[in-house]
Amino acid sequence: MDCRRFTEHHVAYVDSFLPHLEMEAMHAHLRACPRCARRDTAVRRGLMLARTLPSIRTSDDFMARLESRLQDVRSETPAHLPWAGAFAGAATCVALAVYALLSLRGQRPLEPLRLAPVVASVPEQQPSPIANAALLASVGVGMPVWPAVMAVGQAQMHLANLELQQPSAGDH
Amino acid sequence: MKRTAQQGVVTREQLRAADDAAVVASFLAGDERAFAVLVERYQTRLLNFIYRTIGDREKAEDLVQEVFIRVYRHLHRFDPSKKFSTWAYTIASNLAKNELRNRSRNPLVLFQTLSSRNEDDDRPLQFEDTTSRPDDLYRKRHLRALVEETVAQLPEHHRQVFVLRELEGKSYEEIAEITDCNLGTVKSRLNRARNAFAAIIEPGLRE
Repeated sequence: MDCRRFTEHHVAYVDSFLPHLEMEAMHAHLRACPRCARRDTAVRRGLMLARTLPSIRTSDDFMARLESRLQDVRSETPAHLPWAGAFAGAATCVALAVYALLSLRGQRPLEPLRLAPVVASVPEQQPSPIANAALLASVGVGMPVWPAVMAVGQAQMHLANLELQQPSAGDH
Repeated sequence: MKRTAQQGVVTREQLRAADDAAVVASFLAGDERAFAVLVERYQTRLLNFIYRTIGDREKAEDLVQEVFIRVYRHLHRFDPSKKFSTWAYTIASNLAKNELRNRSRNPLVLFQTLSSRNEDDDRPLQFEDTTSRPDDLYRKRHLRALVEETVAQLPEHHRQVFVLRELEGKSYEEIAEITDCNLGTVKSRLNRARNAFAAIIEPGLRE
């Protein structure tokens, strides 16, 4: 053991709180190191003196003065219920909180929920697979049947597209 | 009238014999006499602790009163799983720290402290063996004054730990709780305080 380690453990050594092996190591260091031994002796002598310091006592009127002050405290709080003050305080806080909550509700009447307006946009128009002019021309000149079949199958979509292209009557 | 489950009225003697936790429980159950038992039990210990920390006897007594007033007001908040003594010492420690802080801001208090110390010197010593020879008596007084002066010279943080350990016999763990420090800090401060105490008092012992 070196002096640094001895110093680190000196508090516990003086109070005999070290394990047996460490106590032995501290003893051994003391025998080998006169400087640490001197310091150890000085500390122990100082502690011996400090611990013999006589106790002082309160003055004769201490209890009377304390009792007088306690009377003041009791007048604030019921004597048989020392916790009543805290209970009353907590109850007051709860009552205030409830009152505040109700007041806030009273000041703000329930308003209808306003939502952001829904914006509807015209969907992008899908190009019709059939050109109007071509269809009309094909009917008159007796073109093959398949364009006509296609025109019948997509007539609904075609009509809807036309409606969307034209402004509605209500807009005018 | 306070009653236990097994027997009838709890006497004052039974309260005195009970441990702190039981006395505190009695007080919280409404028995005012229990508070007087706590005062009897701790007034001297707290007075010595505060006095050794601040060095002013009168002020120390006022602060002990303040400790008990706070205990009375706030005992319902005390955690019964902890030691009452540690809680009481924590309140005392905080009051003593505040007093030292106020004193450093107000030089007038320093003057008052010196005055009360002089008055204190005129008081008869307690626990003195009156059959001792005059030179023994003188030596005892000299040693007592020397020790008190030496304690007073320790830096505040070291002094508090030193007083709690060496004069009040508190464990390291209790000191850590009272002073709101970790265990390592307590040991380190105690080590420094012990060395400083030894170094300061040694020249006085040679005189």
